[in-house]
Amino acid sequence: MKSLSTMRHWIALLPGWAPDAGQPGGDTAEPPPGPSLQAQLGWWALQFTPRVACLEDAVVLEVSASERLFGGAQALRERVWQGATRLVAGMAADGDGAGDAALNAAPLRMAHAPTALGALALARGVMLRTPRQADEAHGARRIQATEGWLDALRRLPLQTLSEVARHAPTLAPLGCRTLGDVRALPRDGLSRRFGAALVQALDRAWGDQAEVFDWLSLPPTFDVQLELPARTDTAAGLQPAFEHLLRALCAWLAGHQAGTELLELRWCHAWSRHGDTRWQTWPVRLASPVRDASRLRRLLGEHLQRLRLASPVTDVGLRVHSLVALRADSEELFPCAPGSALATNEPLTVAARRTQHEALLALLERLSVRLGPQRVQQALPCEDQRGSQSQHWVAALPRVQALGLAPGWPARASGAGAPGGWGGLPQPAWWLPEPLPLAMDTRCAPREQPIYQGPLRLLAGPHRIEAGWWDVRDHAPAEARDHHLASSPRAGLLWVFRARHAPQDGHSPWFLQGFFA
Amino acid sequence: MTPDMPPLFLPPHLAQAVWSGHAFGAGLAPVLSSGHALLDAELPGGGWPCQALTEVLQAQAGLAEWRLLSPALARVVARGGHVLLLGAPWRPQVAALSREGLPADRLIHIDVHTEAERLWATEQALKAGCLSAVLSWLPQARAEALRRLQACATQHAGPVFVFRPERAAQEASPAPLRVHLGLGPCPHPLLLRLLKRRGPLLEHAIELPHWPQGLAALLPASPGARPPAVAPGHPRPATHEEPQHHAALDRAPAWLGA
Repeated sequence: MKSLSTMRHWIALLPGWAPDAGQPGGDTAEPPPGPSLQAQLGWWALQFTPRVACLEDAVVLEVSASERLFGGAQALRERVWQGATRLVAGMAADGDGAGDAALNAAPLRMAHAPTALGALALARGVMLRTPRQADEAHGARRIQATEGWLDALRRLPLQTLSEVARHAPTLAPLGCRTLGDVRALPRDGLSRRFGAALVQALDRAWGDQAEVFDWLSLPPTFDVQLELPARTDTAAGLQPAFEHLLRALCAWLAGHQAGTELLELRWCHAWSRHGDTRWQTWPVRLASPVRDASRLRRLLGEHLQRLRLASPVTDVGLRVHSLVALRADSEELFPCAPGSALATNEPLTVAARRTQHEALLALLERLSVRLGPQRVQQALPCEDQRGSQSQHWVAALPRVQALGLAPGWPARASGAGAPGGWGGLPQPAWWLPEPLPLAMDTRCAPREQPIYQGPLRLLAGPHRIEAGWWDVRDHAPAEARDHHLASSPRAGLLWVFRARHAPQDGHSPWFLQGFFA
Repeated sequence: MTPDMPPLFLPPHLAQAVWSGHAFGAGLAPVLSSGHALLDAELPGGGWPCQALTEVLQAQAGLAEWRLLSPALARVVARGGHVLLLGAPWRPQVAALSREGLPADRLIHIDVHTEAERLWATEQALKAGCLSAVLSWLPQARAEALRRLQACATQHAGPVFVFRPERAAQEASPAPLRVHLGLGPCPHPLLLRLLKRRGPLLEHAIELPHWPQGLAALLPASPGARPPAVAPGHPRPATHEEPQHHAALDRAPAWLGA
């Protein structure tokens, strides 16, 4: 019987500090609305094992089957501890620059044992009541007993098992101080006096009787609403509530081992106008699948700045329907900083490249939300000899998204030096959006002497481009121009042209097109 | 201290920690070679500083930026990075830049209008830490804003170039390297003056004969054959062992005028 139970490996995660009153779980503080911390921990823990259950006020998970996948029992426990403290501390999964102090102050206790009830009792046995105590004890919130777990269990006070704690007023005068004392009492007498449930609980904690659980399952879609404590008039006022929901969302996504590309922010107006529905929806599209709470939070801030609320809001909601599988290595225990590899001369590793690409998408996404997608641009070169048509500026985000991690990625960058549409002639690096008409020095008449910050000296040319006569589009007129390389005393090397068909109205036929910067 | 005085002997572990005024300050941050040998010799560490601002001051924007920066930028782009342009004075011609090793899909241009937008976007780009280089045109930025950017730049792995007007040379700046970029007479080589660097003040201008690929053949005089220009009245010190100006790291040279 014992051999079967020692094969199991339970971890108990207990949010909250040990209450000052003796009764465990007797915390009377108002729980925050929305999904409880226990439920979030449970969702989050489902990424490690499907065998997760809520046991009283704790989350217990059975991890013996997944230990090998995560690199051993010790590594898995370390990972669960790191992740859970971050979750409880309300921080992003990858850390958001907050120090160790916040992590040490996270109200969480954890213990592991071969039985779920035993692990829960051990977790409750951590008698730290305040963050300050925990900070001083520095990591003492974790019970590390493995070999002598039964001894540790025997030494625990009565309050750590709720079935025993219920009878503590009667047991204490009998001289029972610890669970071991109760366990040493005669079974049949104990069962008659206190009921079968007490003996059963002790048997389960000791591993002598099988435990039965209602396994936790993840809801397939995330649709959570939250009532605001007060009516809110401004979009910025919705931020804390949405952040609370985002944290729950990230726990849910972690359980699915997935990210999402589309969120729906929802809010409910106190009253509706002109037959509008009271619930309004604002979609947030993401450039890549995301589970990163800090990225979502920053993006949320940008979106809320753009929101205008028609009337006060009473409820907010968050909805996610679609999931996209995330690569497992995107959440490393020690992720490298996105840019750290750039400083060295070594080529980027695949993981570093992916981190960098993700960070770039996040940046472009933020800029696009604030400035508008059309102002975050990349050039699309075109095979056209006309300068005005040789490149088009398009929104950068979809292009980076599509091109970013294509195969042979770094090699494409070296495809430079190919002759463009100008037969290998150098082209100016800065290009004026509209050619600038150049004044003429009339003293040199009849010779034409264009001026741009001084008289121009033509160094090379003419290079004639006569193209576009076939183009019927209005915005792409035909061009017939003689281009020259010119030198201006103050502005350097310029690319100028003389229109072949001089304007009839006496204006200068010379134009400045670009700078060889 | 005279040039023939024997060098001060220090144990190696002390010598590392002591910075003497006539030597370049050895920063801990990596540098990126500028691709111009003449310039690298004068830059502390031998290249553009990474994780820090580099100010480029110009009489007018858009005259010579790419000739100065494209060799260094091409190097980071070849390693797979992106270059971000913020509020450039004109649109770059990507066909020209791809000949210099900067293909179009590695350049991202942000169209920003107001100074607040410029600063905000630059700060975001630096904080993201995913770009190889950031080029930001900040015509009206104040010293406080630059100080903030300099603090953010520590999160950014590559170099950050901030382009400002010439008059900003009179103001103090938190950037560890400030460069005045001008043009020489035809065929217009680059004339660089280092207004501030972690090291002794450099009073002469550095002439960089560098033109885009294929352009040098079209220019009148054969460029590069001339010796580097030396500003009159300021003979170039032969070695860095000679006594030089030490403290005036943020002082504008006399040629700038008041």
